[in-house]
Amino acid sequence: MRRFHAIVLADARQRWRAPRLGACLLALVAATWFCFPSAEAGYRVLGIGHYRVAYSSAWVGMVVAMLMSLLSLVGFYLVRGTLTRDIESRCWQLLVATPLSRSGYLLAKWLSHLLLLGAVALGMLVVAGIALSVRADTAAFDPMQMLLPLLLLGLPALGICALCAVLFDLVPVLRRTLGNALYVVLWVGMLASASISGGNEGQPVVRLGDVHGISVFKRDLNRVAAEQGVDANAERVCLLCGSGATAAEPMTWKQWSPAPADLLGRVFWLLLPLPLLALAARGLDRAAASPASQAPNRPGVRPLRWLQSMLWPLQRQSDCALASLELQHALRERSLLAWGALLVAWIAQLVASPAVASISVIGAWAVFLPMFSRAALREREFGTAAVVFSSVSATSRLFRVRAMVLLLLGFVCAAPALARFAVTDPWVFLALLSLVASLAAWALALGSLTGSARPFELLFVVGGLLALNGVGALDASAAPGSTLLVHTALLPLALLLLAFAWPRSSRVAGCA
Amino acid sequence: MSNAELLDPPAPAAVTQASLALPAASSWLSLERLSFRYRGGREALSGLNLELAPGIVGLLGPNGAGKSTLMRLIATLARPSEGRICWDGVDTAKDPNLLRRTLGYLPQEFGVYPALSAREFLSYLAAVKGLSRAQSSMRVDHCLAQVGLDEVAERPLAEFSGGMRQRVGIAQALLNDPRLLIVDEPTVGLDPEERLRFRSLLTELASDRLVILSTHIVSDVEASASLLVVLEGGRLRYHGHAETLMADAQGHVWDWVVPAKHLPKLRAEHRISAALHRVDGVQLRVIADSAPSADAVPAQPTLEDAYLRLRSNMGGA
Repeated sequence: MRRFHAIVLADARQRWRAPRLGACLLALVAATWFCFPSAEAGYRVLGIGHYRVAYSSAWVGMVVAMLMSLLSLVGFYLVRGTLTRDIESRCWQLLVATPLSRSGYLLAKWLSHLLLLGAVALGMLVVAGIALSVRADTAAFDPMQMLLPLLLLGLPALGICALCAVLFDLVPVLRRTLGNALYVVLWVGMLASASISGGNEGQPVVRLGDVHGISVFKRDLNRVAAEQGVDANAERVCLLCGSGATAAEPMTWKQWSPAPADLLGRVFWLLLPLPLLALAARGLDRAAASPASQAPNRPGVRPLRWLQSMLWPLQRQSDCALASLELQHALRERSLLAWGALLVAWIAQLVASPAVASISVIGAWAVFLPMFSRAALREREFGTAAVVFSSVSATSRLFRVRAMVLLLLGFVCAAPALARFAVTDPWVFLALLSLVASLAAWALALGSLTGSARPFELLFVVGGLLALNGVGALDASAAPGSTLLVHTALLPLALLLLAFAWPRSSRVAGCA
Repeated sequence: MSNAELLDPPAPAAVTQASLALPAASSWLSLERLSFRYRGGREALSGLNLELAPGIVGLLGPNGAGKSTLMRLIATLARPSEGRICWDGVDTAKDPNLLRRTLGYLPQEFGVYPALSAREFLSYLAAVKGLSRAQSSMRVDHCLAQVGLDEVAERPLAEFSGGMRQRVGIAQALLNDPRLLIVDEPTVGLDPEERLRFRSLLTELASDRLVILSTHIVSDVEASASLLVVLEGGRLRYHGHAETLMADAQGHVWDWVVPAKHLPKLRAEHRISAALHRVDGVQLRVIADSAPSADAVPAQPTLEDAYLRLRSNMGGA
C-alpha cells in the first residue's frame, strides 16, 4: 500500500510542479462557469429541444456529469505520458528492481490519472455549485443530488479515459502521435455507441455500450419531459446545444434516481479497468524494453537517396541546406505504409470528386502529422537543445528552417489538389493555400507555446473529423470562402504567439 | 603568502587579489561581477570575477557549486542576472553570435538522433553551426578521426555505446574549430584508453584556444589543466595554478598504516583522502596540518589531496 501511495504521490508532485498543467486545469474549471448561462443568455449547453431546464442541484450535477464526456477527451491528453516518462527516463529500471508488482504499478498509474481527472471534476462541480447559488431558480440545495450523477455517470467515463491513457502508453506505437490521433477516433466511437444504445424508455436498461452514461441521461430526460407534456419525439436532447435558445421555455428536473439496472451498467464500466490492467501488466516488461520507447526515431533506417537528389538544388543556401537535411532525416523515418498512403491520397486528390479530393488532402497531412506537431519540439525531445542553441543565430535560423520544412511538406502533400483546383476552382485553391500556411504556423505556435505535440494533434484530428461531417475547418472545398477567411484571419494570431513563444521555448530547451 | 592561504574562507576579497595576481594581459574571456539567480530566487552564482586566456582551465567544485550554470552562461544558453561576460571585449549578452561563431560546447547531458549515423548527425550539426558544405564534409571527417570514430561513422547512433556517444559529443564540439571550447564532464563513460586519448587531444587543442574543462575527476584536471578554478556555493574559492595549490599542500599530507578496525573512528576524526586495504592493515592518506600520529609519514600531495585540503579549509568536504 505504501508503494502504491508513493507512486501516486510522485506522479501528483511531478504533475503539479509543471505550471502548464495547473494553468490548463484552471482554464478547464473556469470554463465550466460558461456552461451555466443565465436564462437570458443566448445559448445552452445541455437541454431538450427549445426547452431550458431550470437550475436545480440535480440538474447542475447532471450537466457536470455530461461535461465529463468532454473531459474524457481533453483529459486523456492531460494525463497520458507518465508511463512513457518512466520508461524513457529509465525510472522504470529502478522500479523494476524492487518487489513492486507489475499490476500494482499499472493500477497506481491508473489511479493517479483518475485522481487528477477527479480533481478537475470536483473543481467543475464547485464552479457549478457557485453557478447554482447565483442563477438557481430555486433556493433548495441538495449536495447528494449534485454529486450522484458525477459519481455514477461521470466517474466511469473518467476511469475508462485513465485506462486508455495507461494502455496507450504501454503500447510503443501508440505512445506518440498515432495514439493521440487514435484516441479521438475511439472517443467519437464511444459517443456514437452511446447514441446507438438509444435513450428511449422501452430499451434494455443495462446499457453496456454506453461509457459516458449519455443514453441513461437521455432516457430519463425524455421521461421527465414527457411527464411535463413535452413531446420527446419532436424535441431532441442535445449536448452543447448552442445558440438560438433565447425564447426557451422552462422545464424542471428536480431529482435523478437511477434504476438498479443502471447501477449495474455503471459499476461494470467503473470496474472494467481493473481486470484489463491486470492483463496488461503481463506485457509490461516487454513494452518497457521495446526500442520504440527509447526515442521517437526508428534506428537503422536507410537514407532516401532519391530525396537527396531531389533536394540537391537547396544545398546552395545555408538555411535551405539545413532545411533539406531536416526534411531528409524526418522523411526517412516514415514507413513504407505512410508513403503508400500518401500515394493513394495523391491519386484521390487528382481523380476523386472535389469533396473527396479535399478530404484526401487532410489524409495526406495526417500521414505527416508527427512532423507538424513535433516540429517545435525536436531539440527538447532528443536532448540536442544545448548543442543546437549555442550555435550562431540558432533560434531564428531554426525557426526559418522549420517553417520552410512545414510549408514545403504542406504543399507537397496537397500538390495534386493544388494543381487541380488552381485550374478548376480558384477559391478552393486559395483556401488550400491558407490551410497550408495555417497548419505550419499553428503547429509551430502551439508546439512552442505548450511544449507538447498534443494540443495541435487534438485540434488537427478534431478538424479532420469535422471535415468528414462536412464542416469546413480543414476542408477547403466545403466552404472555401469562410475557410480562407478564418485561416487567414487567424494567421496573425499564430505569428504573434510564435514571436512570443519560439524564442522562449528555445531558451527553456537550451537551459533544460 | 600562498594563493591557497589567501583563499581560506571567509576571504572573498582575497580571491580577487589572487585573481589579479595572475597574468591577465592576453585575456580572451572575462567575467565581471557575474551572478545568476534562478526564477525562485536561489542564487547559483555570485559576484564572479575572472580573466581567462588561452590554455586549459580546470573547473572544480562539489555538486551544486555552479559549474554547469557557469558553463551555460558562458555558452550563451542563459543570461546573467547581474554582471557580464565579455568575449574579445564584447558583452556576450549583447552580441551572443560573436562568441557562438567560435564556440564548441559539450554539455554534461546531451541527446542524439538515434536513426542517424554519426556522420549524418555531425553533418547536420555542422549545417546548424553554419558551416558550408565543403567545410562541413572536411571537418566532419577530421573530427570523426580525432575522436576515433571514423571506422564506425556510418553506423546508426542507436547502436552506439555510452562512451561512443560521448565521443560523438566531443566531435560535435570541435566541428567549427572553436577558439573557445567548453566541455562539461567530458570523460564520463569513456574507458581509460579513451580518457587518455581525450586528455592528449585537449592538450593538443589548447595551444591556441581556451578550453574550459569541468569535471569531478581531479586527475583529469591534474593531467591537462594549466589553470585551476574552484567554485563552491556559487562563489569563486580558488583561481590559480594547480602546482601552486599542490605546493601549498606540501607538509599537510600523510601516509599512515592503521589496523582495519580503527578505520571508522579515524574517518570521523581526520580528513582522509584515500584508504587502501593491505595485509598489515589499512594505508590511509590523511590531510592534516600536523602528523596525525608518530607512525604517519609525510607524503607528496596530489592535486586531489590539495583540492580536498582547500575544501576542508573552506569548511566543505
